[in-house]
Amino acid sequence: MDNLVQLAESDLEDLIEGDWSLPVVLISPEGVVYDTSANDPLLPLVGQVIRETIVENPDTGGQIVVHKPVVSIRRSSLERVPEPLERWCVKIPDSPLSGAPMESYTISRPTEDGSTLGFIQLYLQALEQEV
Amino acid sequence: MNFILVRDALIALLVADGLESGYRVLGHKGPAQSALGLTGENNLVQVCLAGAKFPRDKSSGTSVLYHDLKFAINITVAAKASADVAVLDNPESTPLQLQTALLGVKSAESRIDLALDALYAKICTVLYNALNIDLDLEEELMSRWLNDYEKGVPTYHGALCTLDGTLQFTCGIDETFTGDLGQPLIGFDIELRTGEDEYDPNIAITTN
Repeated sequence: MDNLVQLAESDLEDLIEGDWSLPVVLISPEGVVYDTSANDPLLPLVGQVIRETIVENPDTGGQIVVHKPVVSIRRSSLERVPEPLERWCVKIPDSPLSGAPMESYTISRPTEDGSTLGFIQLYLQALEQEV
Repeated sequence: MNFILVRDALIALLVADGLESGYRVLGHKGPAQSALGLTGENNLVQVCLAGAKFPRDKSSGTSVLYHDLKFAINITVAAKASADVAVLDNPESTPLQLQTALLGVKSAESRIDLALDALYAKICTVLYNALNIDLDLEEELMSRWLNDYEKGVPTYHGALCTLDGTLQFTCGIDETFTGDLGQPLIGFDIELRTGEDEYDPNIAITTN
């Protein structure tokens, strides 16, 4: 390694793509499906999937609990990195159980990058079938 | 008191309409809600008496009192983004089909605005329906009006977008207070007693 930044990036293999990772599938606006890692096409694309909840307090004074799924992906594992305002589809397992079905989301706001540009965070918005 | 009848009638009217039109009604400010439980048929309407007053210039304190009522109707909706998920989930879909499906994504922010407007329209329709003008009350409902609709700001920090609005329903109704006014006071027996007037204008008053 030339420097600590590069070392930090390589550490993402453990931090983001290690044992705590879950499979992630991306579909680009061009309709290209990305489900393997750009670093090693034989490996699936994986990332950290964090599902938390936040509490909104609208003007009515009532509280609303909202699920907030966030996916972190190592940038070097992406063949194409989502740009702001692009419409992507992101699929993540709907639960941590083995073999859980993948659930489709779209990106709700511009992605945020890690401090060293080593990873990106995708903020997801749930998708439902249009009628 | 009659304002309780008005409150209950207003809630009952909205509950009945909610069952038909597809929204949920709480007759009070509810506890924390899940955004997932606020979508579609579960759009939430909360009704409560927000304020009231007895205007001083309407009547005196001992006659029938005019009661000015102000109800808050809070409406809350949540929405997901929409797309042709069937195409996105189908592994057989071609890149062109996927691209088309992604072009058709409607964001939750745009859908939720329409959802709240639709709910607002339902509330206006039922409250201004001529059949509901008196809320089925025997007492006459006066100056009823739906005013001051205010839309909130969408929140979009999670998987679902939420948005709320507040309407103000105002009306007036007469209130009659019962009670024992008490026994009348024992009257004072007032007798006017005047003494003899010693003044005689025929007698000159002399002074030394």
